[in-house]
Amino acid sequence: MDEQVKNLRQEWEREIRETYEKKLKFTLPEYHNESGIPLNYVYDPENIADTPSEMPGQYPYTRGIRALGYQYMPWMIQMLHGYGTSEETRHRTDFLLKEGMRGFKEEQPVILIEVDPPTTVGFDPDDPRAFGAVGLGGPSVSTLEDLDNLLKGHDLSKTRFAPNTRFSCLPMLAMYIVYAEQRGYKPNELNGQSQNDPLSRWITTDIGAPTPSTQFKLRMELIKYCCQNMPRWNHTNLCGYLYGETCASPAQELGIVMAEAIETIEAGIKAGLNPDEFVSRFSSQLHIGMNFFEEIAKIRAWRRIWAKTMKERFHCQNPRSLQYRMHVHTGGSSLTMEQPLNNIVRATLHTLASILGGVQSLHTCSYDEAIGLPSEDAVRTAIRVNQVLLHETDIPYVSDPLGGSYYIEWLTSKVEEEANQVINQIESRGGFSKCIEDGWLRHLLENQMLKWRQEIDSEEKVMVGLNKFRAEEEMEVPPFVVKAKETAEIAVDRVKRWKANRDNAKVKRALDDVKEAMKKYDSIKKAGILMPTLLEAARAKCTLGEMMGAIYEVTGGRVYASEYGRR
Amino acid sequence: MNNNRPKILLGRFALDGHDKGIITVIDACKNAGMEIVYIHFSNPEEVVKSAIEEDVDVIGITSSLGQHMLVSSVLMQELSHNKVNIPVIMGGVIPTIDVPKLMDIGIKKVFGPGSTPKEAVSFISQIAQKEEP
Repeated sequence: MDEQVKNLRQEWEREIRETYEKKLKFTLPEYHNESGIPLNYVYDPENIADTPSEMPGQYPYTRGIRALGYQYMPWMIQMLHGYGTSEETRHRTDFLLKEGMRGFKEEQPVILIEVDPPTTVGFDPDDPRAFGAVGLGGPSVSTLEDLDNLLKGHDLSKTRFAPNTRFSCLPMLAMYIVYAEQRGYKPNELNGQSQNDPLSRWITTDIGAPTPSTQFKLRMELIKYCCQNMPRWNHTNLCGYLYGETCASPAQELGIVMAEAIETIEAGIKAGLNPDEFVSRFSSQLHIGMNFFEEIAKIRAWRRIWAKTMKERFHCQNPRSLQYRMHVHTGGSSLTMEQPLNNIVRATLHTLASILGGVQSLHTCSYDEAIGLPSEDAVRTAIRVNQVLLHETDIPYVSDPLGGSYYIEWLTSKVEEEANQVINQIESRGGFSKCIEDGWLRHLLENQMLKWRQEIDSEEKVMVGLNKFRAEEEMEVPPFVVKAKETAEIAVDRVKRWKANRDNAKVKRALDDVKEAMKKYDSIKKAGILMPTLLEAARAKCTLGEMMGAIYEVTGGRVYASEYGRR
Repeated sequence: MNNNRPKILLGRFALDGHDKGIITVIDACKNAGMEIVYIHFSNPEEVVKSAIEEDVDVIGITSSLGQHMLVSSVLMQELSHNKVNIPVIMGGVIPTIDVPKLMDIGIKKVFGPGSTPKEAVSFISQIAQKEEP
C-alpha cells in the first residue's frame, strides 16, 4: 500500500516536471495561506499518516462535538441586529423572527441585540459624551423600560437573549435579571449570553473603557455570578471575530483567543471555581473570511485544541467542558461597497465554510453592510442563504463531510500547530493581559492591518470590484438610514422621565454601595462582592450609565488601548 | 524645512470602534513625511480647539457609525464661529448619496469605502501646501 502511494506520487511529480515545467514552460506558483502555511499542489495518504482515527462526537472532537450534526439539530440562525429606538429594534426582531431567525428549534426565539455605542461603554443617552451616537448601530438600552420594549411578550424561559454590550456587560446582566424577576422569572430559568469579553473589544476597537484590570475584575464577577446562579447562561463569548476583522490570520485568531481563554480559566480557579463549573458555559464568536479551506481547518483545529487544553491542562472531567460550541459571524471586512450583490456570493462562501466546519450557529452578513446597517431586504437575503443551504442541498445529510480529506486533515493539523505557536508566544510574553497592557497585541494587529492594505494596493490580494474588475457604472444600493436626531430625542426624553419617576435617595444609596463594593474588590479572589450591589441598584431603578459611572468613578475612569505601550 | 512639513489633525469620534481605515491613513501620511496629531473626540468642538492649538494645515475626520452629517455640520459651524479656515476632509463608511451634501457644507473631499490611503495623502499634499518661508 505505502509502496503504491509512493509510486503514484512519483508518477504525478514526473508529470508536473515533464509536461508543465519542461514542455509548457509553466513557472510553478508558490502558495501560502493566510496563516503563512506553505501549500503543496496536492495531498495524499502520506500527509495524514499520523492523523488518528476519530468519529464525530468523540474526543478531541475535531469532527464535531456531537455524534449527529445537522441531521438532528440544524445550526441556529442568529442575526445580530438593532438600530434607532428600542421600538424600532423590536420591529426588526419581529421581522427577522418571521423570516426565519431561530434557535435550534423553531419555537426558540433568539434575540441577539446590538446596542448603541454609548450603551456599550455605559453612557446614558442624556450624557453629553453620547453626543451624536445615540441609536446608531443599535438602540440605547439604559433602563428596564428599554429592556421591556425589546422583550415584552416573549417567554423569557424559552427566549435566548444576548445583548451585545462591550464594557457594560455586568450592569446589563443585573438589569436583565431584575427585569426578568419583575416578570416572575428566576435567574436559573434565563437563557442567553453576555459578551463579557471586554479586553478583546477594547484592543480591536480602541474605544475608551475601564482600565484592563477593572475589565478583568468585572469579567470574573460575571462568570462567578453565573456559575452560582444561572446554569443556562453563557457567561462569556470568546470573540475571535474582532481579531479576524483586524486582519489577524486564522491561526492567529485561534491562538489569541485560546491564550485569552487559558488566562480566564486560570483566573476563575483563583476566584475559587472548579473549571468544570464554568468551562462548559463559554460560548464563542468566530470570524470566517475568504480562505475557504483554511477557515474550515481552523474550525476543526479549534475544537481539537480546546478539548486537549481542557482535558490535559485543566483536567476537566465533564465532557461538556471539552466540547467547544461555535457561533460564526461572517467576515464583514471581506465585503465591498462596489458591486454590492457580489457580497451575497462572499457571504454564501463564508456560511458554507462554517457549515462544512460544523459550527452550531451563524450570523450571515447582509450584502449592504459595507454601506451601512442592513436593510430589511438585504437581511432577509442573508437569512435565505442559510435556508437554501439547509433545505435545498444535501449538505446537512452527512456529518463532517470533509473528514478524511487528505488536504483538510493535513491542514487542520497545520493550523493547530501554527495556533499553538501563537499561544506559546503569548504565554512566554507573560500571557494575554500582559500582551495587551504592554501594547504588543495591538501592535501585532496594526501591522497585520497595514500589511493587508499594502497587499490590496499592490493587487497582490484581489478583491473583486475593489482593486480589480471594477464596473464602469456602480450599482447604487440605497443606504439604510437611522433618523439620528429624532432617535436621540426620544431616548433622552425617556431616560429623563425615568430618572424623574423614582426614589432618588434610594438611587444614591444604591450607587454608593456599588462604589463601596468596587473599592473593596481589590483582588480576583474577592469576586462575588459586586454583583449583589448592582442587582440592588437595578431594583432601585438606577440606569446602566449610573451603574457604570459608579464603577468608572472608583477605578480610574476610561482609558484607550492605543495609548498603552506606545513605542 | 520642517516648516514645510504638512501638519494634519486626524480625529475619530471616541465611540466609533472602526479604526482600521484611520490606522492605514496615519501610516500613509507619516510615510509621506507629514506630521500627524491623532485625537479621539466626543464633540466636534474638541476637534476645532485642538486644530487651533496645534496649528494644523488640514483636518481629517473618520466616521463609520452613520453620524457623519451631524459631526460635519457641527464641526463646520464651530470652525466658522472661531473664524478659522482649515480645510476639512472625511473618510469612513459614508454612503455616496451623502457626499454632495457634505461638499455643500464645505467638506473638501470625502474618502468613502473603496478609497485608498494613497488618494488621501495625495489630496492632503495638494491642499496643505505651505508658503515657502
